Order: sequence, then C-alpha cells, then structure tokens
Amino acid sequence: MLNGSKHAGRWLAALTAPALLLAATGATAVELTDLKVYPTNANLRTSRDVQSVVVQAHYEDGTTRDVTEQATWHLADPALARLENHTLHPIKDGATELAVEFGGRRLAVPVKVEAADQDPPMSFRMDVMPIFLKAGCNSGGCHGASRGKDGFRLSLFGFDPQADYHRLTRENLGRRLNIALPDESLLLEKAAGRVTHTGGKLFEESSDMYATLRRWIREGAANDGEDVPRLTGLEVQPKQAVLEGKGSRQQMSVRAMYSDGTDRDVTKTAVLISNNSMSAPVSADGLVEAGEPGEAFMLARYGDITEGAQILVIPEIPDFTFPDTPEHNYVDTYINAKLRKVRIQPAGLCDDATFLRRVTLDIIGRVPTAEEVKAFVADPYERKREKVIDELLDRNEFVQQWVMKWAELLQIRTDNNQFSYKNAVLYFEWLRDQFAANRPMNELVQDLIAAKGGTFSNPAGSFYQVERDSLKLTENAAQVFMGMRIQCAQCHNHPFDRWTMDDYYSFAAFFAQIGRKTGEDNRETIIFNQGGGGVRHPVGNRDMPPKFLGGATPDVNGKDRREVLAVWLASPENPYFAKNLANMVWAHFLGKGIVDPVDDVRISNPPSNPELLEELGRRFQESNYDFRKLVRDICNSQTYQRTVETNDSNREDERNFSHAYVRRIRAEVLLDVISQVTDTQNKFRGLPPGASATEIVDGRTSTYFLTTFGRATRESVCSCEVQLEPNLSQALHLLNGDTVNQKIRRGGLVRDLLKEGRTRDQIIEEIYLRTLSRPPLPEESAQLATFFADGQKEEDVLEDIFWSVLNSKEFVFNH
Amino acid sequence: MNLRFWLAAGITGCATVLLAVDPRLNGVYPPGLQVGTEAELRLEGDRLNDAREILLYHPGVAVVELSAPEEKSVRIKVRVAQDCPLGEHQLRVRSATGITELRTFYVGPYPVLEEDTTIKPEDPPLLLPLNTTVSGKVDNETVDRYRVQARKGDRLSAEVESMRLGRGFYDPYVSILNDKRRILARSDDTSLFIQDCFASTVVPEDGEYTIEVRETSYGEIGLYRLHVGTFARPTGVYPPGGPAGEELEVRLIDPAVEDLTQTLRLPAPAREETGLFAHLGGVTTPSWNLLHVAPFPNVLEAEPNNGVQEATATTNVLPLAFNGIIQEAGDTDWFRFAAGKDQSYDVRVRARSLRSPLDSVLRVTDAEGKNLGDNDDSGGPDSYVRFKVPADGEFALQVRDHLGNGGPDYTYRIEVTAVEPDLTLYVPDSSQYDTHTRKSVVVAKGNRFPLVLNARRADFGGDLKIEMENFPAGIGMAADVLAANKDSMVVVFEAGPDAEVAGGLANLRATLADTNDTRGIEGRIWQNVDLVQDGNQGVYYRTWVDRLAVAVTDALPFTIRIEEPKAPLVRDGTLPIKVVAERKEGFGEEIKVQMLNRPPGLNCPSEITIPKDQDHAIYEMSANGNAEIKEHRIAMLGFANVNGGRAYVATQLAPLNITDSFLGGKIPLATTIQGEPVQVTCELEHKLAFEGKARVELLGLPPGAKTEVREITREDQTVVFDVTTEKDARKGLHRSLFCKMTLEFPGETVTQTFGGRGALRIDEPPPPPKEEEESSSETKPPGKQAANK
Repeated sequence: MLNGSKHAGRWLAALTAPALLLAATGATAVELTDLKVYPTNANLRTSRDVQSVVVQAHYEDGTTRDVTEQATWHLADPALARLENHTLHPIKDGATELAVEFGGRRLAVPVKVEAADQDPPMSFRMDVMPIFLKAGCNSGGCHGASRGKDGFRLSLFGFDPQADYHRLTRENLGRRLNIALPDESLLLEKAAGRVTHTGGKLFEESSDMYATLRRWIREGAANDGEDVPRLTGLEVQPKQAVLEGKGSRQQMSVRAMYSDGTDRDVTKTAVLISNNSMSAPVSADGLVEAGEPGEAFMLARYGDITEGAQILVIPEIPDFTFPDTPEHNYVDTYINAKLRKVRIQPAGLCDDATFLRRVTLDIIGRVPTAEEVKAFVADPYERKREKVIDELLDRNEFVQQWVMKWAELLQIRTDNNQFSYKNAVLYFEWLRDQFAANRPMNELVQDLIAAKGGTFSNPAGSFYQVERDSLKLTENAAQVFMGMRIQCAQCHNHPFDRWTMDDYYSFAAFFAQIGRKTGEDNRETIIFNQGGGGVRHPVGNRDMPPKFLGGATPDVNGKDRREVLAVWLASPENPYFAKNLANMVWAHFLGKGIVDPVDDVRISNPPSNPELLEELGRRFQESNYDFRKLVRDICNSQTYQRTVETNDSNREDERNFSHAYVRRIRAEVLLDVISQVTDTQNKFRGLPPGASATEIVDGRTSTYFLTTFGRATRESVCSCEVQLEPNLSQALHLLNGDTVNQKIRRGGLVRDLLKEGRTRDQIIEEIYLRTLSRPPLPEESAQLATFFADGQKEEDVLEDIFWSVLNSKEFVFNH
Repeated sequence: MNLRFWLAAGITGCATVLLAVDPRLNGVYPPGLQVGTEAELRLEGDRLNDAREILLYHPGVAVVELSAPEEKSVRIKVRVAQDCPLGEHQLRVRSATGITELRTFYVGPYPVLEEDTTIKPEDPPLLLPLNTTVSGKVDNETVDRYRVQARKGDRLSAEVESMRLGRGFYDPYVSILNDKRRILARSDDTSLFIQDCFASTVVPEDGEYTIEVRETSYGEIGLYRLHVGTFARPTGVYPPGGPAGEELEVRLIDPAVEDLTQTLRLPAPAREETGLFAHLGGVTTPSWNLLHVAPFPNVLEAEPNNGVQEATATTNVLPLAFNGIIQEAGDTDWFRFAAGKDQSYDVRVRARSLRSPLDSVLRVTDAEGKNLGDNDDSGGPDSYVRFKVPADGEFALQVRDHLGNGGPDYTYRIEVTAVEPDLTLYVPDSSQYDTHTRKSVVVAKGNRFPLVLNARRADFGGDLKIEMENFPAGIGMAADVLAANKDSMVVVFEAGPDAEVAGGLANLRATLADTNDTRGIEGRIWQNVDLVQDGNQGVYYRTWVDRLAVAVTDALPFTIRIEEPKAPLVRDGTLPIKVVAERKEGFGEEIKVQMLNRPPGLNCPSEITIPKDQDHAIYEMSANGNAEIKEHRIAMLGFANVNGGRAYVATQLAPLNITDSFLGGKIPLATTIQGEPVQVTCELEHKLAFEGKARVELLGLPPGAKTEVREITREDQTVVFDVTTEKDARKGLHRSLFCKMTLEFPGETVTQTFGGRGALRIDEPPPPPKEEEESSSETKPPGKQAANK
C-alpha cells in the first residue's frame, strides 16, 4: 500500500490481450473529429531550404493518429516546389498551396518560395553551432565540460558561440580546421571517426552534418557578422498526441524562428529527447513510436531554446467506458476528462469517518476528537462535508499550517549575528498576521519582494536578510514564487528548460540595487533601494537590464527595481505565479503536485493535467488570490474525497489522481497529533509551554522526534526539505523512544477514563476514535479482549493498547 | 605554605572588618517610585557595609534614612517631592571606601505595585486598578498577564519600561486583549523608546481586558515596570523644541486624541533636551516626549512646502530652528532663509535624536534648488551638513525620509547655527565594554588617584587647562596643560593624610590655557554611562551624567611612587623606571602597575607587577626614532586586591625627559672571506653630549662572526670593531648590523641603538689555483660558483 511500484509489468499483463483484439477489429470504427497539418504554412527561402509536413487525425475517443502516409497530397503549382517524402523543396520563387486530404477532410498549406536561386554561405551560429548540440560535442560529459575534454573546450550547450569560434579557429591554428584541405580538419576527422576520438564516431561522412561542417570550412570558416539572425522561437508539433496501442507512431515536426522573420525546418537537426522512453521513445529524426501505456514528454532543444510536446500512450481497450461519476466542481471535470482520455476508472468516495480524519489533518493538522467523529458520522445533513470544511478553515490551526509552510519557503532560521531570534519571531508573526487576515497572496508576495524599512518595523524585509546574496535571492524568488529552479542558468543555458544565462542575469538585475544598513537596534537591518548598481553577465561582462523571467523588459529608470518586479511577479502578467501557488496548495491536499515536485516547473517536467492547473491558477487569481476559497474548491471535489482503495485500471496510477494517495503525516503535525490524543503539551525552545510544533519559529529549533520524522531545517527553499519517506528510525522511535510512551504516561488518559467509570470497551472505543477516527472492528475487539489475562492490571493493558494504536501505520498515515 | 602566606591571610582577614573597598551596586528595588510619596528602596550590591551616602544626580528625591547597611544591600527611605521631575533618576552609593557604579530608578505618576509571583498560570491574573505601575519580571518562555476593568470610550494604555531601566538586555512586548483573546493593540518596538513599548486603544465596550507582557522573542525580562491606565500616549510632539526660557505650545500627536495641546515653559539656559509629560483627563503619561531647547527662535513649516519655489520662508535671521513634519509617504519639506557670504553654519537635523520615526535626508540648496551640500546619516539616522555660504542671498533646505515614509509623528527640527567652538570633558572607558570602572574620583587619605580625562573639542584649537569645581575639601589635583594636539591626559588627585572622609558630585572645568584668548571657551564633564551593552553588538541603553562623583575614603594599605629618572630616555633608546611600593605593615598583596598616558613613540609593557615580597619593580621604557622630544609627565596606576575588592592608587606625576639620541651612526659595507678577520667601522654622529665612557657593542652579526665590546667618549668620531669569522660563518650579504651603546647613570643604565642596517658581506674562499695535471679528464668544468665570482 505504501510502496506502490512504478508503472510496471502489470499494465502489460492486463492490457496485452485487449490490444490484440483491438488490432483485429481495427480502430476505424471511431469517428474522425479533426484533421491537423504541421506546420500550417511553409516558407522556403534559399535553394537548400526544405520543409517537412506532418498530418495528424483526431478521433472522437480522444486518440490521435499520424496519417501523413495515408493522406493524399496535391501541390497546386509543381513548377514552384517539389514534394518528396512529404517534404517540400524549392524550385522557383512564388506562392502556391499544398492540399492535404484525409477521411473526407481537406486542409490547405500556403507555400511561399523565395530566393530559390540563392545558396548563401554557411553560417557559424545558424548552421554549425546546432551540429555541436545535436552531436553532443558541447555536452557536459564531452567538450562542454568546464575544462573541456582532451584539450578542446566548447561552451556548455553552446552558451558562448563567440568563444567557441575562437577556440576552433584561433586556439590551435591550422589543426582543428584546415581550410585548404577541409577533410583533414581535426574537427571532421574526429567526428567521422577517422582518427581516435574519445567520443567515438558521431556521424557519417555522407551525413548532412558532415557536409555542412565541411562546406563551412571550405568557405573559409567565416565568423558571422553582427547582423546574423537570432533564434527567437521554436515550434514543436503536434503539441499533443494520444497514441493507442503499442507500435503506433507519430512524426514530430520542429521549426525554428529567427529574428529576421524567417524560419527553418529543424526536425532533423534539433535534439529530441523523450522523458519516458518506455512509453514513447523518439528517433533522432523525430519519429515517436508508442511503447507501454503511459505519458511521455517530448523535448526539443535547438540553440538556446527548449520546447516540448506531450505524448500519451494508452492501452487499446475497445469497450472502455468511463463510469458515470458525479462531478462536484471544475476540479472533477478536468481530472475525469484526463482519466477518460487515458482510460483509467477512478476510485469511489471514502466514507465519512475517513473523510473527516483526512480533511482535519490536511486543513488544521490535527485529528478529530472522538465526539467530533461520532457527531459527524451521525449527522444526516446532506452537505455536511462542505460544512465541516468551512468550519475547519475558520480554525486558527489552519493559519498555523500555512505559516509553517511559508516559514519553510522563506527560510525563517536564525543565523548568529545576521538573523537574530527576534528577527525570526517577528517575521513569523508577520506571516501569521497575513494568513490570519486572509491577505490576498499577491499582496503578501508583493510586500515581500518590494519590502523596505527596518526588519523589526516591517518584518517582510527579512526576506532580504535571511539571504543576502543577490544571485541566491534571484534563484529563491524564482523557485518559491514561480516554482522554477533556474540555478543551472547561472553558468550555462539550462539544458532542459528555456532559461538562458541572459534570462538569469537579467532577472538577477532586479535584486542588484538592494541597500542594507544597520538599524538603531543592532539586530535590525534597514532595507532600502540604493538606486544604483547592476549585475554583469559573465560572458562579455555586460551590465544586464532587468527583464522578467519569461516576460518583458520593463522600464526601471528612476524606479525601485524590486517594486517593478513585485508588481509583475504577483500579477496575471506572470503566467507562473498563480499556477505555482495553486499547485502548492494542491500538492498539500492531494499528496502530489500537478507539477511534481512543486518547485520544479520546467518544460521537461510538464503538469500531469495542464488544463486543471491552468484553471486552478485562473480561478485563484480571479478570486483575488483567496487562499481559503482555493482550499474549499479542492477539498470539496470528489477527487479529493476519493478512497485509497484502487481498482484494476487505477492501481498503478500515481499521476492522475484517480484515487487518494496514502501519505505519511509530516513531522510537526504528527507530534501535535500525538500530543493532542494523549492530552499532553509540547515544550520547544523559545516558545511558551503548550505551543504546537507547527508554531516553531526557528528552523534551527528541533527535537529528536521532529528531526527523525524529517522536519525541514529551512536551510534552502527546496520543497525537498520536508521528508515524508518512512524509515526504520521513525518506527523505532515510536516503539522505543520516549515520545509516545512518556506522553501516554504523562497525559494519563486511561487513568482519567477509568476514574470516570468508563468500561474497558468504552475506553478502547475512545482510543480508536480519537486516534484513527473509527471504532475498533469486531475482529480487533475480539483480539484485544484476549490481552486482559488474569492478573494483568487493566490500566496497564489499556495503556498498552493505546501505545499499540499510536504505533500502527494507520495512525501515522493520512489516508 | 610558608609563613608569609599565613601572615597575608591573617592580615586580609583582619582587613575585612576594617575595609570594604570597591563597593558595587547592582540595582535599585523596586525600580521606581510614585511622585509625592515616601518609600523604601533596596539597593543591592556587594561590599556595601560601610555605605555612608547616596549620591543623587537630580533634584526632587531626598534620602531621609539610610539604615544600617549590610554587605549585600542598603535600605534607604526616600521622600519624593510633589514637584520632583518625573522620569529617570541616577544614583551612586558612596561608602567610606569607595563609590559604586551608577544605577537608575524612575519616578512615575502612579502608585507602584509589586507583581504577585504566587499567582499560578491557571489562576486568573492579578486585577490592576487603572493608572497603576507594576514592577515585575518575566521568566524565560513565559508571559505575564494582568487584568483591568475599563469603560467603553475610555483610553486604555499600557507602557513598559524595561530596557530603559538599564538593568539588562530586556526587550519587552506588550499587548491589550479583550475577553475573547483578540488583540486590540500590541507593540514590540517603538520609535519613542526603541526596544521599550506601549500599546494604546480606545475601549470598545465596558468589560475586562487583559494586558500581556513578555519578552519579544520569549526570552527573559529580569525587570520591568508596566504602567496601565487611561493616560494619553502621544508618539510625538510638535514642534519638537523651542527657545529657552519661553513658553511653548505643543501639539501632542496621539492617534486617539485630536487637538490635544499643552503649554510649557522651557528651561533657561538652554539644556540639551527636556521632556514633556502629557496630561489627559487629569492623568499624566508615565514617560516623556523629548524636546530640544535652543537659544534661538522657531520657524514652523507652512504646507504646502513641497518644492523649492513654495518653501516656507522666514524673515528671521539665523540662527534658527525650522520645525516640520513629514506628514505622509513621499512628503518633502522645504524652507528658505537668508545668509551672508562666507559665514559658516552647522545645519543639523534633530529627528531620531528626539525619537521621531523620521530617518532624515537633508539637502542645502541655493534659491533655485541647486545642491550645495547633502547628507543622509551622520553617526546616526539624523543628518548634518556644514554649510559655507558662497554669496549673499537666499538659500533653501530640503528634508525628506530616507525610505520615503511619512506620518503625523514624523517631526523634526533643522537647527541652523553659526559654527561655534564646543568643548566637553569625559572619562574614557578603562576597558572595552566597561563604562563603570574608574569613572569616579576615589582618593584614599594620604594617597593618590589617577583619572584619564579626555576632551571633545570642536571648531577651536589651543592648550587647555583643567580646574576642580565643588570638590570635597582636602583633595588636590596635579594636572598638566592638555596640549592642543592631544585629546587625552592623566590628572592625579591627592588627599592629605588628615583629609576628612567625604564625597559628593563635583566637576572639572576646562578653559583655554592662553589667558589672552577672550573667547571664553569652557567645558565640563558630559559623560555617557552605558547601562545595557551586548558585547560588540553595541549599546542598547545609555544614560548621560554632567558631573563626576568624588570621594575621600579611608586610607589604603599601600601607596606607589615613581623614582624620578635622572637620565633621559633617548630616541632609539631604553630607560628602566623604578616604581616603588610602600605597604603598610601586614599588607602583602602583589601590586599591578600600568602606564596610563604613554607619549607617542614610547613603548612599554602594558602592565608590570610588584611581587608580594618586593618593594619595587622596573618598568622598561623605550622610545622609537620619532618619539616627541619633550619633558613629559607620566603617571602610573597601581591596583591591588584589598579584601576582595580592587583598590586603585596612582603615582605622582613624574617627569620623563625624552631627548634626541646621543649618537647616530653609519656602518659602511665591510667584506671578508669565510675564516678571515675584518674590521667593521661605525662612523659616529654625536647628537647629545654625554659624560664619561660609553660601551658600544656591534650587534646583528651573522652566525660564525664575533667581535668585542668597545668604549668610546664624546671625542671619538669612529668606532672600529675587529670581527673574526669562522670557516663556516654564514656567507652572503648581511644587512642586520647595528650598534648598541650603554651609558651608566647613577642607579640607571641608559641604552641606545644606532647605525642600523649596517652591512657585512662574507664570501666563500676562492677555489684553489689550477694545477697542470688537473686539467685532464678529472678537472671539473668551471663551476657555477666559480663562474659567479
């Protein structure tokens, strides 16, 4: 139950037979709903330009098929262009049209031919650099390593073309390139495997890549002028393909856009990677072939741009029907749509007692009392689940939960002379005030980013005190508020995401003018806008103008850069902000993010349900970032309320929320719950007696229990700080450690209940209800009765039973 | 253990009864009193058993009884006059053998209750009558709670004095809660009192309210005074100052009370600062709002004055104080004034120093707004510019908040005053983070006491002379003139053996030594006492005093003196100085001796010890080549443990003559070969005549080279040393040679060095001459060493 294996062989066993059946019956019975052609227009410029064309059919059951081969093709004016293997080649300047027909549908692709009589020389940046990326020359394991490889260094993934040009042409004159005898250039000899090459043979002498390099050398190995077009975009198509059954195929089409308005078909020269080659491996030429059912993400990288497309491989189940499951709100609509598409049947709803325990743990970090459980189960009110959610959202402990989470994200942690405990307390209390007042999240974040003044009078300024390095601040802001890890781009363009070094340093420039001075109280720092200073790009030492990550370059002249950033960061103009926060909340309640981990949003880690994420973000933003409303939407959904019990189709699902996931209760909540059920108090350093573990201010404050159960130390903003994996020392601590045993003794629950005159069975029921939110099962009761052997003191046995329950998996997990 | 030990122990035991030097005062309990009452105070400390008197720095509190003091405490009964100034009062205890540290207590308007420490956390908190002060303490990780009954519409305020009590690093937090535990008002830090705080609200309905006091971050508060009542709690006053001796109407800035004004007569002559205690409905606010009193008139801003063209103008002439409020975020205030060419003015913002939240940024401009000088911070958040007027005409001042903040209590004064000389005196800290030790003058009968005295001079130069004011009879002072190029000196106080044991608050007055100077510059003590410090994190609470505590005490069992040197200390020379101790019969403690005022260029150990069984020790002085040639006067501090306390005495101010060196010299390069002798000559340059013969040694020779001592007279022009070298003497060029001259004076040996960087080269012997046979195969090719030669 706890260690579900990943997509495994069971899929195969269950689904191979129906797949054969489907193959026999054929899939043609399903109706064609749409026909798409990629790209939608073709521009051929210069005599060597080509453009391949792909046709995709969409069917009513949500599946797609690559029908490029099956379609009929007709070029209106064959004098202008030539069609060969679904690829257009130029003949003469002019405009015409390519018609594609399939299943009774017809699509027209405008074709434009320009400069068909010209064959310009090869460009270093546009023609040569992509080869280094495609062939892997400039990867980190090869010449892209910081010290190069075997004496030759290229910039990692090509972040510095000028340096690469220098190294090729100037560093080892006449050796790497031989302009007189291009074939004797070491570059070609090594790549083609004619001489020993640690990296082996990379391409054939007959390949296009070889020809391109050879021609560039023969043409004098020229560098590009200032006006060489810059890569501005990348199109990967189709954006989504739903492939039914093993062996179905989809050809991808990749097109690069340039700053001069031209484009190129780079399907063969772009790097294509699949993140799940079990389900959807991709060939170097961009052909995807379905494997096992599952989801894959196709990543295309060209130059410094990365884009992707989603490939779903679903089992062939001809008689699949999606159950008629009720939908409470939009959450269910999107989740069910996805489940329908991937042919998974959702689990049913959990019972009332399970729901109450789950939602109480999730919203306020406590378990319901025995009375609450009994009252809730007995309540005949139809919408009692909605009601209890509203009641829990009003509780103070709800605020504590989120203050704790944000204290982790904001790294509230003392640091000797730099960040005093007073700073930490004020920062923590400031957060608590914001959540208690249901302050819109965008305003809270804007207060943090634009914070100025003393860290005592305005504790939000501590955002700039827990971390003083402006590059770290940049990375933290991206990770916390946008869910992005841009660290890689500090030293090279991000290999699996769109972020370049320019993006990184331009974003860092927002944090370049922070002034700090000591306040009247030495522990206080006053944060202000210095109005000067900048960030320099390590390549070329350029002073970078501030630019939003994935957004515009704003006018910051005479303004506080952080104020400009704050407005954008927490606004609808930032496409990531609302979605990121919504995803964080989602992950708290469902145990897994729609993007998972929540702070690793990148092109190569796409959301499992992009439409739902989009909608959650949109609604969160439209509700003026009302945190409680978002929680209400999630907790009221059927998706949240599903049982952990699985069926044959959803047993392996760990991505699509077709059933509830069993989650270990996090350290602080578990300790608070143990204290709650044993009627005891906690005592933590720097807090008054009775403070809950969720209220711990300082990341440095911990106890053996909390550390063992993986409490975040708040040393980084990473969501990975909180550890939820069960381990042996946790089990041993519960069994042998002092927490559970001492608390049972100190709280004296059993003793008090006996004093009240409760019977043995009543006490056992009380123990079960207050810990597991259910009465003991008949077989459990029968077994427990056997423990009361003659001569055993009843109080001791009951305490042992209490102890056993607190040691059960059922207690330490939320399910 | 020997006899001496037992003797010493016995004498020390005896001394317990006789002497309790070095009294200490830790605190005053309770830490405050109500005005117009009589009350008992407990002064706790150490070695207080011979306490004689309480030295009070402010009027209004009279000690009516000082009961029999004990080792650890003194109980006093005090009468607080009806017109006693409210606020902080400073005191020290004077005993027959010393003066304690300075401690403070407060006089407030309300009756004082002690916290009831028997109340358990689960019990209902103590119910306080309104307008009461509670003295209490908060334990680590706990919260103190009190209840009050209040009526709808009333003001309910709670103010905590804690850091201001100067007793420890206590950073309080206070909140007012209703019966549903909702916080109505809370406060951690305030602009007015920095760490200390106050919360204030208008009571929403009749009922019971809770006041909570805790340490900001749940630490300990060793001592606090909580004032709870219906008092107003203005966060500022406007204008925040005015002309000395005149009546000033000020507006109290309190968000809950509109148009609350109060009139007061400002003291004359002008004092640094004075306080205004607000009154509301017959209730006085427990602590003040600061005002700055100046001997010149106010100019008040007239909004709008947000640009140079609409600056608030005045026809008054400088000096003036321009008063205003940065009313809202982004506000900028401008003033305009006339000034004459070549005048120099100090333009000083007083905002944070008067506890306004404003963090000022100041600009002085011409009439068109062109910048002529600006400043953000000057040693604190307040700004300061010295402005030399470039031409006759109009000029403007611009003030704004550094962070662009503003608010109704963002008050300020910009005082524009002609540059004038300023002089104050203070006693510097004797060691880091210690502002108590040796800050008072404590002279034992028949003994001496040293005081390091510093002068803060601004905008004038010249030698200063120091005089005593209001010292008890029987104390004399030996002090040199404080030279114009120095800001620190040692003065030595002396009391005759028959002087009366007495004490009081006295002063030192510094004036220009030049009697022809008519500027009338004078300065007195203005001394900080840092009561709460957090190591290198800085000072958290500091109070100031304007007088020195002085006492003649019972005799001490030892004195020390310098045996005045007959010989000079020459540049590049050394001189041993003998410090002699005279112990009373039976006193056998070791005595530490420190040099207090080291002239520039003089080096000596930081401390020497006169051992228990010795009557003197030698202080080795040396002077470098730049030591100031002059007859200096030096004094040394001596201290020893007397019955567990530390007693301080001084030597007399003794002359120390630093002169130029007797000799200079040059040692030209001499060369030799390993194993061969060489003559090293030093060419002498006579600078100061000396009598008789001086011994001269050649030092710094490399290993393997030796010579002998020579004697010279003032007639010699050179001194020649016959240096012998060993076969393995270290070869190479040695630039380490110098001469040391030793001259005997009666009882003193003066040494001096000269001829530094003298050079001697020792080479390897040349290779043996070549012989015919050896030119065969066995001959080595010319070696590198040979080639080098």
